[in-house]
Amino acid sequence: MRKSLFVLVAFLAIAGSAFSQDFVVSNGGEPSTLDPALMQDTVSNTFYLALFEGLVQYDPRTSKGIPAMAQSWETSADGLTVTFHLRDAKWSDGTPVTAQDFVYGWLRTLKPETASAYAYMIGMVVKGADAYNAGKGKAEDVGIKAVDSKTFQVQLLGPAPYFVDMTAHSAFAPAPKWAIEKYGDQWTKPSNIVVNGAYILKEWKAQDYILVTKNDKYWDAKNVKLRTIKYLASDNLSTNYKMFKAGAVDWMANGIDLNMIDEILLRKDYQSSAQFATYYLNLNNQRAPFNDVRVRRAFAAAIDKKTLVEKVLKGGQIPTDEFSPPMAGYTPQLGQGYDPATAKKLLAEAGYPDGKGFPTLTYVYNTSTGHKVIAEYVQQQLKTNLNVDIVLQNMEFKTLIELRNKHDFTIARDGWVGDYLDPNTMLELFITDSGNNSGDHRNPAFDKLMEDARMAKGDARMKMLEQAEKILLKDDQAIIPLYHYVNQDMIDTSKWGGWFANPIGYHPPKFIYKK
Amino acid sequence: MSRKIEKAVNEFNQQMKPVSLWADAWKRLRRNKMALISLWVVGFYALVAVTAPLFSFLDYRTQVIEHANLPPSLRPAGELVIEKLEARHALIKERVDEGMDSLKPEMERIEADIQKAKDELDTNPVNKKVYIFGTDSLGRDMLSKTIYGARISMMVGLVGTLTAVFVGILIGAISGYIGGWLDNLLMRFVDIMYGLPYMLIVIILMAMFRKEGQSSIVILFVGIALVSWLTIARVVRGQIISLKNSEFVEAARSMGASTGRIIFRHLLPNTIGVIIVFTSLSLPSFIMNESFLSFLGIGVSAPLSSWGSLVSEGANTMELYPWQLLAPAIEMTVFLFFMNFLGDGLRDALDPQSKNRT
Repeated sequence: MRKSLFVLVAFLAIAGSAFSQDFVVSNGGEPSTLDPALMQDTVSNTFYLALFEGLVQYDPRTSKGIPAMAQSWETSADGLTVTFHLRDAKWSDGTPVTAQDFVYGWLRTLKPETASAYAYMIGMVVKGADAYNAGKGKAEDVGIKAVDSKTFQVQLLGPAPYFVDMTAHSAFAPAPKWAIEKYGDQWTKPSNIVVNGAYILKEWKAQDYILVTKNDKYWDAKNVKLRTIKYLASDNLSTNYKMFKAGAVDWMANGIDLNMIDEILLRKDYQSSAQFATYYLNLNNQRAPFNDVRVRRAFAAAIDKKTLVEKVLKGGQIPTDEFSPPMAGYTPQLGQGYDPATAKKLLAEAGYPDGKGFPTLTYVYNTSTGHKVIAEYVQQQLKTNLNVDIVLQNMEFKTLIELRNKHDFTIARDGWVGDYLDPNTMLELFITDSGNNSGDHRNPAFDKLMEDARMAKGDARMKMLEQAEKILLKDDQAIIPLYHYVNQDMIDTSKWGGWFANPIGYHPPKFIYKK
Repeated sequence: MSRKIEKAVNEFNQQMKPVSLWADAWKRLRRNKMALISLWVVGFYALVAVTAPLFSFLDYRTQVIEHANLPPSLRPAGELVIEKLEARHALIKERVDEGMDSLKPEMERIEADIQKAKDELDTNPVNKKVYIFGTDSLGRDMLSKTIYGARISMMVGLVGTLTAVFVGILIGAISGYIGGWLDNLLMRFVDIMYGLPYMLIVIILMAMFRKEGQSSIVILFVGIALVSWLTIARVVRGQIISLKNSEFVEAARSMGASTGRIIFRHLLPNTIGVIIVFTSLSLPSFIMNESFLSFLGIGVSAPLSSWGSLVSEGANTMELYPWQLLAPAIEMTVFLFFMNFLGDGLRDALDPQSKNRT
């Protein structure tokens, strides 16, 4: 009797695990924050996709916006007013989600005291938002309004065709005013947090893992399949990959182990697809020696990107001299390409013939084998082609973001993933004083073009953006683009459904299920 | 077994030749075979490390990307590259035949690479290179990397040991000889320094003194120097206390020798054995400490490397390219192993209390 009971229990346990909808994600790092208004990196953003939901949600296949908190929306004839109709959704504490929550959330992102790196994203499109964010305008003058508790209206600066897609982004999140006012900056702690997404935050072990479980109060809860998701914080891609191979991790979300690329390429559970994103080197435009455009250009000309991508990275990335990836109607403008002779000449013109007298600079990057290999490659390229020495320094991702935000670096690695499919999301980084303008690029002509592009439509708009990129790269060489990313994920799609390779590389977990 | 006695030997007709401490120790050390071998091995390591910059073929920073991840071999690199590419081609072709079309461009690229490698096999001098320890992921020679790694690691060991000896002896001797409140003060300071976790100090120092264009190795040295002298100060202090009331010190004092003279001329030479033994045993531990920091990614930074950082990098790829781990690991283990033997031998030779004394 006892034995048969044991067998039964064992059988149930095995059956349970075989059918259980538990998902383990290797997230590649510790999130710097869970507060949507402050999120800035892809590691943190993974949690936005699980815990929160904006007016629209990213379509798992195309990355375009699909109805989420907003059931439907309409745009006025002049394209300047968008009215969203919210559905009957609830926060995880049972309070209904209202248009006021969106007003509060957006204003919170914009509020100068919040210091959100993404505030400019609202500022770019919404009337009065930029002025309020810069401390020059009032909150009442921002063009957003709760017509009633279920109707949310936005006044745009120009007919931005990408606006609705944009609202899937964390900067446009609704926010639970009562929780934030009660707990202050502690509101994202597991015991305090109130969310409106498909999952609720259950457990947060710093530097170890974050566990989320299905939110029963979520409006679409019946279609949410995964019961729990565990996000592991380890940034050791080699360990993560071993865990993936052993079956302890179901999805490697933020990067693969570059050392193992030869083996990984042969695996069927390796997913790669072109991504709307660029890996680049940030140069501090305001700090010597990079305040001289000739030095910036010399550096750009000294790095052989093609060899880097084909012989070192080998993941199918696309070497590039442009920043915004090409897309329909938009021709990217190229900066300085690889050309060692020009590089030497430019550096000599800037006053450092054959690298003589050039200071030793520090290159900062976040700890990861992939970034390290690239850093060492760049270091050697600069030594060979310019006879310039640089020192490498690795740090935690959080620290790197801090340094970049404070412009406290000379060369820093960086990567940017478009937040929606439009060149605007790439180029807007480099507007003077934009929150993500780490290299501190300042050029009024560039700012002017970006502002004009907001008001323009169609072809004329794209032309302006092209012009802006030309200033950014050809004239200023504010940064050194290295390559366009490819999404590199490890997930067995014959086992997990609802996960699709898409150009932005955001994968809302509500669609993922075990087959 | 009788020996013919040619001349009677007694205590009166012998010439007494004074035997210095060093000659005595050297005599004993020479009899210890293991220690002698260790001395040779350590000496060889030191010689290679010191003279490395004289050999231009030892180039730790040039990257020959085409030669990435080549295994250790005595054959020229060009041949190995072709072999490796062909093996890879076969593997990929197998997958493509199974229907993984995504690998087709990769296959074509490899075909082109094979062609190029074959064309250049005899024309490009770089293909004649021989990598007896293999190469790393950016096509750098592992032999040169491990030798230059040895330089850094041994330098760390030396810096730690030298500060330990100078600062430790000074503080220990003063504290032990003068005693009283000064002894109390110094030893409590040592206690406090002991209490601070060494790794944490170095990590904090690294974060605090981040300076543009400065390699972190300087800070590493400072960090190691800061904590290296603690133990030896304690040991020397204990020795001095036990000796300071002995007769020869009394004699020196009664003849009016100054405190400095008593400490440096009379007391310290009597503790030198302990100091040397401690030093030779602590050198490996400094190297281990640095390796650990480098393993965590906060030690030296590229293009310099130490044994620790090489092992750390190698560990990431040990399944595919085991030589990247084994080369530095074996080199380091051998060195530490013999260094410890040498330390043991020195202790036996110098320590009058040692039971292993021969």
